[in-house]
Amino acid sequence: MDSSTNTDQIPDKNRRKVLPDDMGLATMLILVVVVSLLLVAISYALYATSPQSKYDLARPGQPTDSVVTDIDDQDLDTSEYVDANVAKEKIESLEQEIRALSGYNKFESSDLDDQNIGLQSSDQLSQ
Amino acid sequence: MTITGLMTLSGGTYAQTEYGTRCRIAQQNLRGTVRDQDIRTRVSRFQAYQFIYKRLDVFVQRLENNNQRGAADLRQEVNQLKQAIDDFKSDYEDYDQARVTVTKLQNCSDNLPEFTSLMQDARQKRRRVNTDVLTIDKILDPSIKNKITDLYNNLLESESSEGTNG
Repeated sequence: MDSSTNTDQIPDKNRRKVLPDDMGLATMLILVVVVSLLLVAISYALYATSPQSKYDLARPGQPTDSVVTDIDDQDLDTSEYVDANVAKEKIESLEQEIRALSGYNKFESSDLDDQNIGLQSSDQLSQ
Repeated sequence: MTITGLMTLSGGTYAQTEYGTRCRIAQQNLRGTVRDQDIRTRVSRFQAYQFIYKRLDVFVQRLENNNQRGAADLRQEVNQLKQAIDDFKSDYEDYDQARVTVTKLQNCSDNLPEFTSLMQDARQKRRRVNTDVLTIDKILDPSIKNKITDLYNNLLESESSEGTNG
């Protein structure tokens, strides 16, 4: 005798009811929509409170502006022998990557100078 | 008190009032333009660093898997690069916190000494991020680049001698 037969033998009055018998289709749909909205709200709250969310700059329709990751570097195979050609290609791609990096801001401390953040007007500087 | 002394005093008071008014402008800039530019740069740099590190790691794994000369030296440099990238990440986080603290100071014009001290802290932490960027630059060029160039020259030499012998 399998377990499904056992379940069938439980009297109706003893079965746990998840949903009431008289719940209509409309009520069920509303319930599903409410639960979905609740899940979306929880997910968004988790995203918004995450310290990493400030780094999420990608927006639909916007191009990614990472110059370095567009460089065609070598594939991810780790087994092949490195010959002179492979090493030369690696030097070239590394040079390209270093050149691309130089285009980014270097977080110079002078970026927070009084004049740059508006603590000092240009009139004050000329005096 | 001399007239010059009075002028200096009034000038100093004026400068202080001006500074007090402008601290709010500075807070706005730190909250707006500076933040936007910094986060964009942080994301771009970190993405680029990870990309470069991953590719270098694969390259060194190829050398290691084939027991090639120079693998150990290059591995050491790549590990240093990884450490420097981690430092950049955590130092940027510290700097960003310091920047946010400056922007959250209430009535900065009434708390100028505190504002100045918080600004100094933010500048100092930004300087650390700048040092991390320079360290990573140095690890990539000349350290790693020179090591791969040496490897290339050795491989070229051994390949040409094999060609002559073979």
